[in-house]
Amino acid sequence: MAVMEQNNFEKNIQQKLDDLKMIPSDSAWINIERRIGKKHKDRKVVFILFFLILFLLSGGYWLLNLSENNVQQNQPADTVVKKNSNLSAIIKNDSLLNTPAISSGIYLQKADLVDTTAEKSKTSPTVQSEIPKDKNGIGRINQNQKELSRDEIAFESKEKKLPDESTSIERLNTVESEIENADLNNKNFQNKISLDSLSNQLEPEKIKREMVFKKDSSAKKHPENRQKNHWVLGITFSGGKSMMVHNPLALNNSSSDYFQSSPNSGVGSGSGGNPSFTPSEMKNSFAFIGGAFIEKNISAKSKISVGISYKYFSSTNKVGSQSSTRLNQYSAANTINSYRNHFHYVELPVSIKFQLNNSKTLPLYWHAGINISRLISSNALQFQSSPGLYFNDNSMFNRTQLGLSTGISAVLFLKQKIPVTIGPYFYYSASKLADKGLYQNKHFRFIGLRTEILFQKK
Amino acid sequence: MRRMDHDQLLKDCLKLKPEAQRMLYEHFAPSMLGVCFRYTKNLDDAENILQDGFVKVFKHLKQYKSQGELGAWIRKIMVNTALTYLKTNRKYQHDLLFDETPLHIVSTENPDVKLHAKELAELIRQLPTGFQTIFNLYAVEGYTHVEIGSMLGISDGTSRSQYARARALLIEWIEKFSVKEQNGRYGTK
Repeated sequence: MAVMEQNNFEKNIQQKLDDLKMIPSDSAWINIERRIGKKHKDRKVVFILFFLILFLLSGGYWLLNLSENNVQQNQPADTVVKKNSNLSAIIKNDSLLNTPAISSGIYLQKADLVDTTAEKSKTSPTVQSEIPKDKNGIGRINQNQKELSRDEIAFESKEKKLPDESTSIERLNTVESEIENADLNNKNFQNKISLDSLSNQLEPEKIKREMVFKKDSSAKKHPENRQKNHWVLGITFSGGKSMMVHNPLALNNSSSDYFQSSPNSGVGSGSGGNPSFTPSEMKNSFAFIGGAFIEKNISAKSKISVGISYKYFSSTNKVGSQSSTRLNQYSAANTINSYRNHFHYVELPVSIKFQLNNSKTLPLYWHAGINISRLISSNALQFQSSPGLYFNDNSMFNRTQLGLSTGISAVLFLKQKIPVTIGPYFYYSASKLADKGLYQNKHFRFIGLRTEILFQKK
Repeated sequence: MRRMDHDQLLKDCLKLKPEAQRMLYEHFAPSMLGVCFRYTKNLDDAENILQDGFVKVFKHLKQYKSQGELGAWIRKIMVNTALTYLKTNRKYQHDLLFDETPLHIVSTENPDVKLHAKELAELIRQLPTGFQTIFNLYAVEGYTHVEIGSMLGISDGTSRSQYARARALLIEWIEKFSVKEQNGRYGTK
């Protein structure tokens, strides 16, 4: 009966309080809207970072391919320029000209010229009719790009000296007479090299294009230097242990120093007999960093690199039973369950490398850098001593962290296409992990092994 | 709100449409502020909890299973947010230290509560934070003492004794308040 009466009181209270409605201030919704919007922005940042990584990777890959093609195309041209200072020297090279491949290569040259100048100067029908239209012809054309470039360079050595179009034509006459004087014994070739096509070649635009080409080829005279000063794409992976330290100068950096751990249940003696809890010992745990970077020589013995990485740090501690699944809350009593606190970061590292030795087979580098990282998500638990509760609240973390990194690395397989760099890596987060809560004034530290793979063409 | 409107509103909220979010907030905010108000000592704290709670609501809305009442789901979030707020806010932390008193006397008094909701809520807010929290959780939200013990990290016995004391104190105040009101009405001191 007493219970029923008691229940009546509770029911009465419940009914009364269910009717309680209060109008919140206008600023409440504004704050909520701002905070929801911020979360959307966070998502946008993740998307932007994702596309930035994609862009960097694809851009790096494209640059790599481009430099590779340039080296392949221009390497023989250099030789030709050096060996042959005028057109006749090349034309007299019977073995080169008499091959069908070369003939078709010249057809292409004409075809290009006809296409670009068809409206301005109507090319002779002879030339047009000689453009090969079959697929095989095009195939041959592609195959003989190298030989074609030789011709272009040889022509260019003549053309560069011509100041204007009139003198160009004079010079062309000379070139033509040289062609005629040459003992080619190839009627087809003589017919194909017409004055029209040559004059088209000497149009200012063409000259400009070839001047650029000339400039490129001069750069190729020192391909080694050029490649050394190029940005080179690489990927990196570091695996090791992350740990939380309170004071960077403290020698004993075990996280247990900062908690009065109680191995049994985490229950301490509170004032006045009230249960008060101490947090369980925070243990160091597995961590890794992976990402992409681009690297460039800044001097004979130093390099600079910038990149983007994903960083995962973690720690473990003991918690009690879960009191709320929705809010990720755990009791601090009977701490028998192991809980892993995950920290996911996106990081932008900038570092400088200095070569420590003179070895060409096993160069050793010391590297130091600054890393700006952003916490993208975490399930880390905060702690409340009384009434003893672990709960998740990421708003307590300083999301943006400034870190310092250093390490020593050795370059292995230097003579291979893809050299691998390996060595110890040390990272220290100069920013505090949080200003309050369980992680108050704590800093992350990472010690591990770092590997780098450079996609460098030799 | 009609069921169809309710479902559509939910869908729009999940699509992160600002108008829908605003509508959902406006529909539930007054009653939820009433809930938050009962757990705190001032209106600013109640609004802070309301804001934290609604941010969580919008963040976890996709986890809401449509079987239950959306209002009840939001209310649970508000209550949990209020508890976290009390535990993490220095102003309330100390008051949430509970005496482990195993013995308690269950009051059988069952006064007729003639107070208005706001007046009753004000009286509940006058209770010490520990009493106030346990009273709200047990009498208003309907949690059991075992659940309350788990939520607050105390034993269910402590929850029972704290509740009994809170209840007795509140009844005393309600009676005093009623007498005062009556006296006021009839012009006596």
